Amino acid sequence: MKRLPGEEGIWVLIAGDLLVFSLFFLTFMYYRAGEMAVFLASQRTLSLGFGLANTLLLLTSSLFVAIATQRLRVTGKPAPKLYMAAIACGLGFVGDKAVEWGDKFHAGIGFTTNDFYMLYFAFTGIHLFHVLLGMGVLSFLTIACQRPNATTRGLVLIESGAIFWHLVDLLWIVLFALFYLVR
Amino acid sequence: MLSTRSQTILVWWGLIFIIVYGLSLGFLEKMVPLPSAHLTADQVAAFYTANSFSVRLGALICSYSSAFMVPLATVIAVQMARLEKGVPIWAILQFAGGIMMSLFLVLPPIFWGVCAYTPTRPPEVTLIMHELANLTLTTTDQYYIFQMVAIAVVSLTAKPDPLTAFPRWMGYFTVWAAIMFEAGAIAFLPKSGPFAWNGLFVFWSPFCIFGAWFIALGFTLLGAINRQSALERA
Repeated sequence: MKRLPGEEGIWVLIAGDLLVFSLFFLTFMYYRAGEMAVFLASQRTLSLGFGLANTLLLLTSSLFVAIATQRLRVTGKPAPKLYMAAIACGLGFVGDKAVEWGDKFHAGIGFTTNDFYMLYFAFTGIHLFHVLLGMGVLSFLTIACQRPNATTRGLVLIESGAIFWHLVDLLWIVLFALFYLVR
Repeated sequence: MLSTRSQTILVWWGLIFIIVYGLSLGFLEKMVPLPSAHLTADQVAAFYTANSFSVRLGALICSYSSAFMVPLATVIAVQMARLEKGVPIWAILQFAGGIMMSLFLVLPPIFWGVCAYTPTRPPEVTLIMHELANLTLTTTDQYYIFQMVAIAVVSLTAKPDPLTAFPRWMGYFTVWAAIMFEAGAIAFLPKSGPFAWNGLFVFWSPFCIFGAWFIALGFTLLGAINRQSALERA
């Protein structure tokens, strides 16, 4: 029988997070339907380049994490450098976000500007918190993959950490589509 | 009395009190959900005038039952300590977080009670007390976090133990609940929408998630205590 990656418990967290972010998406669509003009106008003031760069950074980081975890599972060799590369992508994401938000604040756009920006800052802010947590998890993976039990008892924990990072990536992709792309 | 028996009583005490607290918050205080943050001072004063007795009775019952976390945090600490090696530092942190949290559950009912105590005072004075109550209820998550982090750490790092009260899924559930609680503090910023103090993510989601988390934890504790007591008697 094919084994579920990670341990069962991590899927409680994943399902819970997906449930809440689904609520975020429905909330966004609900407000958008009510204030279509405001949402479309505000969307044009978002920086698509910054959002796109962040999408690429997270996708790349997820690839690193997947390769590192797969290598550990198949060959039994740890690849801490790949996890570190994923952390570097995460740092890039945070830096990109800081510049993007700083840019908006500088232009006088903030949380209270309108409903679009309220949802934008709240949802991407909560997602940013996930990214920071995820980078903590990746730092743990960097160490854990070099332990002697990494291919036996420790493997499920490493897989669970990798799954969490993929969740962070997945949530961003949906947020990106929702805020930057939906016309 | 056997410790397991005492622990069972304390867990039930906590569970019954949280239900009493939740019910009087909704039906007597009429604060589920909180009223809109856009109400004027006159409208707020009128609410307390119209519901003066009900809000004060609610304040009485809510503030009495608000300490529901005290017995539960005590049992959680005892159950965590049996899994920790050496000084049970996470159990102590969890206990401190749980006890501190109780403060922020007793304050809003007291403040609402003050609002309703003399509703004929100038409306602006009532408004400030009303806002203080609502923001105290929604934006004070800091101590839950210490309690939840401690529970998550012990759930996820303890050696497998058939008598544990903290299965691994409870660890992940707790991590998720802690993340979702963080949204509460946003209530300082907007007055309407999903992040206002009566909004979906500041009011409803913590209200439901906290309720579900508390009850789930209550029942994993009861289950574990039951297994431990069977072993104690055998």
